[in-house]
Amino acid sequence: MSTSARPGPLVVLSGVPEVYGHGLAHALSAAGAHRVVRTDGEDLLELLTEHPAPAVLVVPEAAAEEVRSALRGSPVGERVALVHLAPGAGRDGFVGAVRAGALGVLDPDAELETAVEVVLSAAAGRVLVPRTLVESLAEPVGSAGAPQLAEHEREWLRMLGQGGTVAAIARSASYSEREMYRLLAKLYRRLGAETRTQALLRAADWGLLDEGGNGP
Amino acid sequence: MSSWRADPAAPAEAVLPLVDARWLQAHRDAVVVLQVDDDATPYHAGHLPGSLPLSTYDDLHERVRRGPVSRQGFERLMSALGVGVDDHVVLCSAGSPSHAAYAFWVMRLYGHRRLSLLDGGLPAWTAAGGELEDAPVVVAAADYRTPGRDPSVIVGRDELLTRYVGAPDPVLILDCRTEAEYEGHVQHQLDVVAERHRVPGHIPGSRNLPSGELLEGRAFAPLERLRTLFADRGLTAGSDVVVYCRVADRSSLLWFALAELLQHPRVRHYVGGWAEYGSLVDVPVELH
Repeated sequence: MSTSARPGPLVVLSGVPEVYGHGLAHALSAAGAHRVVRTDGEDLLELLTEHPAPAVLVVPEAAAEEVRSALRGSPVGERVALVHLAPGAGRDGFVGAVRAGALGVLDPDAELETAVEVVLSAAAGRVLVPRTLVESLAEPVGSAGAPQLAEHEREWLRMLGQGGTVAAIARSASYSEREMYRLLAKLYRRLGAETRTQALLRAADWGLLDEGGNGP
Repeated sequence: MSSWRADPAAPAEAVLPLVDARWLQAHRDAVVVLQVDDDATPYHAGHLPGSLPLSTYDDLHERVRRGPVSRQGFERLMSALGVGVDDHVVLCSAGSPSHAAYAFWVMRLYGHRRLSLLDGGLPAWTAAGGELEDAPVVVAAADYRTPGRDPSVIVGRDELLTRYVGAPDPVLILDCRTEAEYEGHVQHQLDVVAERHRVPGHIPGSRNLPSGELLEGRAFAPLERLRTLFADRGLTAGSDVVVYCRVADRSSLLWFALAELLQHPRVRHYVGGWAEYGSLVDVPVELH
């Protein structure tokens, strides 16, 4: 936690639209981050070099790759945490930004209070993760969107995937063929499929046909 | 072997290859209805009263080796379903009509004469006010016997290569996959491009007639439209035709339309399809 005795982080808003940048700078300052610098990006490296302390750099997503490659060749690169400004980034946008090395994603439509938390978290080396993303990560399956299946259901799919007949599966599961078909129909529906072929393709995509895949 | 074909001089009671739901309602008690889908899950959700299930992949393909069900397997299947060799069998699908068409072709392969396909499938039956039931149907087993396969409706890869590929008119090879598959722009999602275990493209000289063009919804297009589609691909009265797709389901629709609806006398089904041909080493392949 930052304390009032320590100076706040250096926050550089580079290429951030005027009005939003002004509002964000004000909100950051009110939250104790007094060293906020706004730049159009021309003098970015000089600016960062002049401030030897760790810094948070907020850049529009479209400019992020260029900035990142400039920082890569500079000694200041290691102490700069990048935050992308990305309208409506959503789950995939967030994951893409983090994969590219960002420590946060700012949605200009979000509350300024949230934006300040994103920036201060990045300054502390942490990532503030949107709740929706946390929820999708918390799904107990290996692949987002895959239904959670019981082990015996995965076994049925594996048997079908290996060319087994429904009659054989019914025998091994001690069901009548008719009951087995009804259970399989429900299973196909849970996979979002209308036919066995579709169900097996989806199951394969989700890794459900792998031995030990999609743990309980 | 012409003795295998439906007798052109058959009496007027000869069965229609394509029947509609109203016909089926009127003749329900005189026919055996088999519902054919990818598997029997749709059947068990509700089926035409008294009908029996057929599963394309469990019942109509061989279990260990690749290919249509063997003669012994077919006889066992028909016997278990209580079908007699002289029964009039109507085939229908809840989903894609290619399953019913494939079953139709398999039954013709084994010489079953009295066969019809329900145009529009199960949805057409319910749309016409037909009821469904989900009660189990119990039948007495029969003793079905077939004299074997009719070679005039099937062609294997060796004969395909020696007699058809690269042969001039009147040979006509029809590829009924999508245009993108035919031209080799897309691979099936099960194919791993990098391994080149199956290459994209088509049989040289084949013409593309995507099976979807034969249908209007799930029903067959009018005969005139079908005639035009085949004529546009070079079909003449003397054409010696081979049809293929990827795994013999879509091509069953083409075989049915040409052999049964248009009564073209020489139509053979290359069931190996692109799944086999595209995997063969050192055979001619054409792209685009």
